[in-house]
Amino acid sequence: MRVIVFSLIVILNFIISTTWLQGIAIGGILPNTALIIVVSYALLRDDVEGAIIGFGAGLLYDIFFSSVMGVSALLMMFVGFLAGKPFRDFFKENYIAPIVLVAAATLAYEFAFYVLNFLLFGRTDFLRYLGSIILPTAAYNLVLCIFIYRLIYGVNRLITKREDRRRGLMK
Amino acid sequence: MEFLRRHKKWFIVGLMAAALILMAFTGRQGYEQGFLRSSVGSGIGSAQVLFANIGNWFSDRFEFLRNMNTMHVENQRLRAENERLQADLDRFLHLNEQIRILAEIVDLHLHYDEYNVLAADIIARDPGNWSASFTINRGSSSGLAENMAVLAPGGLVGRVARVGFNYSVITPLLEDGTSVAAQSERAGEFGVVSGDINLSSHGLLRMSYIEQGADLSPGDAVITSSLSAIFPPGIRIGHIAEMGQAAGGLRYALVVPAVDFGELTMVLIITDTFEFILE
Repeated sequence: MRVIVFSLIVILNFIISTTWLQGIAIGGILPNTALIIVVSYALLRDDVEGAIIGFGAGLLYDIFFSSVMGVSALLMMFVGFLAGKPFRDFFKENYIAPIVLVAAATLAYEFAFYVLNFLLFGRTDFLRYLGSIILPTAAYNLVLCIFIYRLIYGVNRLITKREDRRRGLMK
Repeated sequence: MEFLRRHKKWFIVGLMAAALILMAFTGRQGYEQGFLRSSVGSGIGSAQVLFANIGNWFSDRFEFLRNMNTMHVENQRLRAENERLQADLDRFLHLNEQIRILAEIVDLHLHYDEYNVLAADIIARDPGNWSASFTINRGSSSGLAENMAVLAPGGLVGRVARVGFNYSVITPLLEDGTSVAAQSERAGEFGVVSGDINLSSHGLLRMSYIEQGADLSPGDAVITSSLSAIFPPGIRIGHIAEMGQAAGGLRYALVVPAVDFGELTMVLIITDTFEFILE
């Protein structure tokens, strides 16, 4: 149940972010909604599930848009794994943790993406990339994270309730 | 799941290994279509077509309502332009006929008389901010192959980067790291036009490797050159906006692309390949 629902959410997000979402670009910058979903989910669950959903979301991107598959899968897996790590007992209704984590994760992910796809090919002009892409994306993600975290939180709670009820019947 | 949690370290190492193996496998020179790309690509590709169509339906209605008053003026303008183009076309056909006759006289074989062209809709765009790649709703089932030239009204868009069964990924000129051999239309000066992510956000391309004494000035049209390895010669790329001095005694130019990449919804693919084959 959980697997199916969140697989669908990741796939639906990919389809929407490649088609409809192109219309909400601000100054040519799009939010990385896949990253927000991965971080939110990892935060609510744990590091292992975060790594799985991250790997899946990254792989989906790689299948379509990367010339070498596996780079985004690896990066997203790390993001999911780390985001699910030290926050198992944080207060889940609070928005501070997801906002801070999404901002940090976006900066880290985009920086790693820059290093792997640009710096390694001799594009050393880091400050320009930072100003024109990395920081705007992080800012956009930070705002959208509030809504997407709320959504993932709601879906997760519904599923958890269902699971608990089923477990109760079994006993 | 409990099993995975108990062996967390090994699980993460396993996922990393899987990603690395995938990279090593798909990064090989000459790697074409994998099982993952063809199967998942086709499935999600169809869903993207559906979503794109729904989105287009709404934006078409919206456009229609918004443009209702300007449509009459637009129509008038288009009619006038059509008249002008018709006259141009007649003149062109007449010239073409003359060229053919002259070529016959001097026994010159004319290349690339006519291209076979296929139209395609853009269905999805790269959701990241590092790349401007997009996918179209045609693939190997329509006869597309890698490195075919992609055009739009105005001129060159880019090339076909990867082909799936029912979709292909297009790498536009604006994409960082792509380059195309170019020349100016007026003086025939050579250069290389390439995409640069810091320029493409302003809608510009860079033309580099221009000789110091080259006869180039702002406003000159830039076209694909006969030196290009994959593009047919003579396709319009754009025009020069500004000249600059690069390091090492060479000059560069900023080029305004002829195609409006932001407004692109449909492209044409030349289905003949011009790929230069090394013997």
